[in-house]
Amino acid sequence: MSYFTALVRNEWMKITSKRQLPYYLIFLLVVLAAAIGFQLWFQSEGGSEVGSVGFTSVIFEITSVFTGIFSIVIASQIITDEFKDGTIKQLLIRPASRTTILMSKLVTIMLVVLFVNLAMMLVTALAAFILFDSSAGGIHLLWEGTILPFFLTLPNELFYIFVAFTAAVLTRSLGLSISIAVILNSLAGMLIMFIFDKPWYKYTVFPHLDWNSYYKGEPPIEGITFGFSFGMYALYMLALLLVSILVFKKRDIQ
Amino acid sequence: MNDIVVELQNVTKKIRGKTLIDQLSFQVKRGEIYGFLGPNGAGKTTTIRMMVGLMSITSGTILIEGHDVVKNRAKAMAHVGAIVENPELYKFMTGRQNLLHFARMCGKDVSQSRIDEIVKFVELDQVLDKKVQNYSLGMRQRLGIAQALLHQPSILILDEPTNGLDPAGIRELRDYLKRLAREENISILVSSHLLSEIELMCDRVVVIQNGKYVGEQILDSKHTEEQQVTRSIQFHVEQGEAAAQSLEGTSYQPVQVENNVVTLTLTRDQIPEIVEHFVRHHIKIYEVRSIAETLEDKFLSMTKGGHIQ
Ligand SMILES: Nc1ncnc2c1ncn2[C@@H]1O[C@H](COP(=O)(O)OP(=O)(O)OP(=O)(O)O)[C@@H](O)[C@H]1O
Ligand SMILES: [Mg+2]
Repeated sequence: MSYFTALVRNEWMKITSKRQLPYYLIFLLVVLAAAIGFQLWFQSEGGSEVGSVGFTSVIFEITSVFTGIFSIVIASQIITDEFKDGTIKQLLIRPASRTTILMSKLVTIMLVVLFVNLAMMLVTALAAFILFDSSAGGIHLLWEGTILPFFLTLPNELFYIFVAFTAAVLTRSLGLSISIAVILNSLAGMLIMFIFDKPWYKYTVFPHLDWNSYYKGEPPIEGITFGFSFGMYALYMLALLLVSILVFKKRDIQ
Repeated sequence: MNDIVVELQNVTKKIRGKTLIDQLSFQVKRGEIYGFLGPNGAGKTTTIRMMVGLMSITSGTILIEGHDVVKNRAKAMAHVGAIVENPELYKFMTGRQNLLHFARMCGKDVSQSRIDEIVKFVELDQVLDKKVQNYSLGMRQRLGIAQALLHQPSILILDEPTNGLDPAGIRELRDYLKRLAREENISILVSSHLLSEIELMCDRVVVIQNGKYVGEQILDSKHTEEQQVTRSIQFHVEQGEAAAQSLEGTSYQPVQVENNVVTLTLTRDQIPEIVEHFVRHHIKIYEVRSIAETLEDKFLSMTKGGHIQ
């Protein structure tokens, strides 16, 4: 087992030992159960039936919004809790460099986000295929309707995770870093309305977060290529990463 | 193997123009318990933070097993176990998970038998699978020591380890540390603002104040014997000057004469001698009082004697 893997396993152990993750998973199951219950009741009252693929895609779309916020919370917490409990000292007096520690945390967050989303997707699809009508089509529709869109929105989710993570390193305050990421996320739509016709709009990060539009064959801004979007996206992500590493490395720990 | 485990060379720390640590140098030898003494705010924690790489060093060098803690951090830290201020542990995990966590971090394999050995050493086997939030402070302190020892460091750094412990806990900790130094040949650096505490467990002590080196002293266990300890004794008399005069030509010299209070530095056996002396010289004594010395006084009286044997 490499040293880095060991660090990631440590972070994973800490996240899974806290209450947040199990509680959040329970919350997701409750949401799913409620949706199933509502649909079954609706059908028994004579309402129209739902296809299992359609059901999965709607439910997953809703829960992934929750998971987006949840991942912002844990991306902040994985940093701020160490400062709050003073365990940051124990973490940083080991052979691991500060950059390595930071990277192990970031990788763990990504693993958690993937795990939660994929687990939810799997459970929802299983339940839907057992309970609802699957005559309209099977797995390949699931790919088109749920799996692919999820991977195409992942860059957007990752961006806000990076924002929360960097804000947490900068501020060391849980409330502040969650707020920064959530507010930016919810104001992004409005912000775009003000700036979408400016010539420099394509140099902001916002048009490059939605990769679904490329899949649909209509680029977010006329004339830009996916390569350009990918490059811009990578640039912003790298900038956030660099800021968090530099600040984290230089900080005196009290 | 080199006999010096830790070496500070002219270490200085400045924050926003304020000098917290000023040209501090000292060495810790292998297998010794080294006291790091200073009043509150002297800069002990600041120094320790620099030693373990939590704080940058403004100038000077810190070597651990010959490795510069700044330039060769990973190698230096591989030899260090530390508790800075409080035993910070993950309260939401069990003692075992905490140990596993720190075992994975130390960069070399820690065998299960080593973990068992340490757990036994700090006597936590009974509670190892309980969450740390249910531990008493003494248990946390011991778990803190256990995690610091997992990788068999050559230096254990403890910042005010007795803070918050009751007398029994302090005694227990003292015994652990002595056993550690003896059985595993580990050097231990213990910071404290209490001389009495340092006296009881350390082989040598360095004293700092306002971030500056004050002095270094070898402590001998005999020194703690009651008869040998000198302390300030105040004699409240009718006429201070007369009392001081009566002492002229004797081997006793007052440290201070003020408001008819004569202060002398004496051992226990000398007190009745002085009383007798004053009575013989018809000096009226109203009160004899032993003054708890400040750390500074005590250290100064320690070093003034030149040696403590
Ligand atoms: N980040 C900082 N900025 C400015 N001054 C600081 C900072 N950290 C500590 N100090 C000051 O440095 C001095 C030394 O503090 P330090 O905590 O090292 O003392 P200490 O010897 O550990 O004291 P104590 O016995 O109270 O633990 C104190 O006067 C403190 O106010
Ligand atoms: Mg301190």
